[in-house]
Amino acid sequence: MDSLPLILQEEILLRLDPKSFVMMRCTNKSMEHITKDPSFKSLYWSRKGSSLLHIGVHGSKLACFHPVGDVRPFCSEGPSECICFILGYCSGLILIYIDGCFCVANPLTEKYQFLDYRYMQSKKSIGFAVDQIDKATQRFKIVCITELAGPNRGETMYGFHVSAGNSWKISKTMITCHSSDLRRDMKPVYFQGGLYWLRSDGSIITFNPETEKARLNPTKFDQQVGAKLLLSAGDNSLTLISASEEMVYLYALENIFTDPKWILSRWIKNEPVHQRMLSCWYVEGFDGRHVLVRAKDKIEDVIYGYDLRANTWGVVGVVPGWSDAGLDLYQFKPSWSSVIGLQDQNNGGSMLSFFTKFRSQRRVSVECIMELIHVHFRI
Amino acid sequence: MSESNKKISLISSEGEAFEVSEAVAREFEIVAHMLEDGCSGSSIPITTVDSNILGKVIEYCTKHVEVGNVEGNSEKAEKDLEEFDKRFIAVEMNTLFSLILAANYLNVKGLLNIGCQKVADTIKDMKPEEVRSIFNIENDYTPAEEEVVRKENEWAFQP
Repeated sequence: MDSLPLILQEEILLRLDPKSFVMMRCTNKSMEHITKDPSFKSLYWSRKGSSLLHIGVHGSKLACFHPVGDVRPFCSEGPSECICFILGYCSGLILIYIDGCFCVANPLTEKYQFLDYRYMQSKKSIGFAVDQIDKATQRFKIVCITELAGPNRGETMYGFHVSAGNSWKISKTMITCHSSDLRRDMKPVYFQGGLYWLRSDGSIITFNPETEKARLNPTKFDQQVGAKLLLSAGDNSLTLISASEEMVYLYALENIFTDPKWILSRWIKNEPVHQRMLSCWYVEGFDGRHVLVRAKDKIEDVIYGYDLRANTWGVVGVVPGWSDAGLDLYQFKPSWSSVIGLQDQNNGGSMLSFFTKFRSQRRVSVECIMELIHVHFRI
Repeated sequence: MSESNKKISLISSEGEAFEVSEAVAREFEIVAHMLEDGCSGSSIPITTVDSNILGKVIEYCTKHVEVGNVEGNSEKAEKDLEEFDKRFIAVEMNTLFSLILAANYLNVKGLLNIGCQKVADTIKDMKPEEVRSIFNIENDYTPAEEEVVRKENEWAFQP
């Protein structure tokens, strides 16, 4: 093994199950060094695929997690008294809304940071952007989009509030354009430096959290009657998924800065929904490799994944029967990067006043969610 | 005349020539690139791979080219190929490592893939001591250091 070049040693390690991976780590110092590297560990898990994290769309005391390859859900343990929302996920970090606070957390390093509340017009007005600055460091920004009536009839003015963890500031950038509602059924997507909000007329509002530049992409999309849409970040392009009961179509956004157009890139038979009697179904996610469709009948609520490389459908998760109809669902991949602004929160101390007791409830909830995820990535 | 009838000689590190069809030689991506770059000579030296291993890699590529050319009955052909791969890779460790190295150098992706997978499958369920002895990995820990790393990763040692 020592005789193989590093790249081939890594190629072999990436194919091991977690237990064997750890056994290899214990063989000698060089193996220990390779297998402890944070970015190599992330690569290891990203090759295995995404895990699933979900919580009721109206908030819940419980979050559920399906480790990659495990259809059973693990649920965060109570008794946490706070209702939580998971507003966003990006590059291994999660954005939680709990008890009047935002919280950004990395479940793998178990570091988190509470942030001030900011009034949000809806959950979907919050965009979450995470950038990898170098191999081992990330930074995040939270952007809240606001809508106001424009100076002329039929126009809307968009503004942006931005926080990088310490305080909120109102961006000087405003854009005014013809009115169309932001789609409330769709989370904004962060892709290659830009946050994207899809509007009902098919156009897209883009905001770059670094440069604070905003623009309207005048894209058009003819939504088929009854089709379900999902905006997501593919590997190389922003992707719009349009699914009918028969087929799932994937469109890639091309010429994003010159003449943006949705180009059909893949189409798949919607097997989980096709030919079955279901009470409802949803397109839940796309991470560049797996398209997720959740199908619910009277007995079970199942998440199916279509693997674009293997060209097959498979069950990736069974959702507990007691969960709400709507889920906020995220395809989770772990990151061991350190994040600017996140801290270890093990400050212990006595929790005497009512205020600190109340605060600690929040902490308990966030720590429960982190633990729920953390235990499945022990390598 | 189709190009695939053209013959190319691949020369091993010992200087032995292996005559193969161009289609087979193109399975070696490194050779395919050379041909595209206009390297038109009919013999190509593969200086880092010995005759034994080069012969085997050629056998692998020949089989895959043959199967790829058969039309219809693809399911059976695929199964045959899987069986072939399995037998092909069932060799002792040193040969396996040489095959992986050659596949990496020559850029034969399919072979590299099954080779690495075979090593990974072999490692499965082994203790560090077994892995060390099978793969000739030198244990450079002091007993105290080894104790620490095992302790850190205790969960994996539990049944």
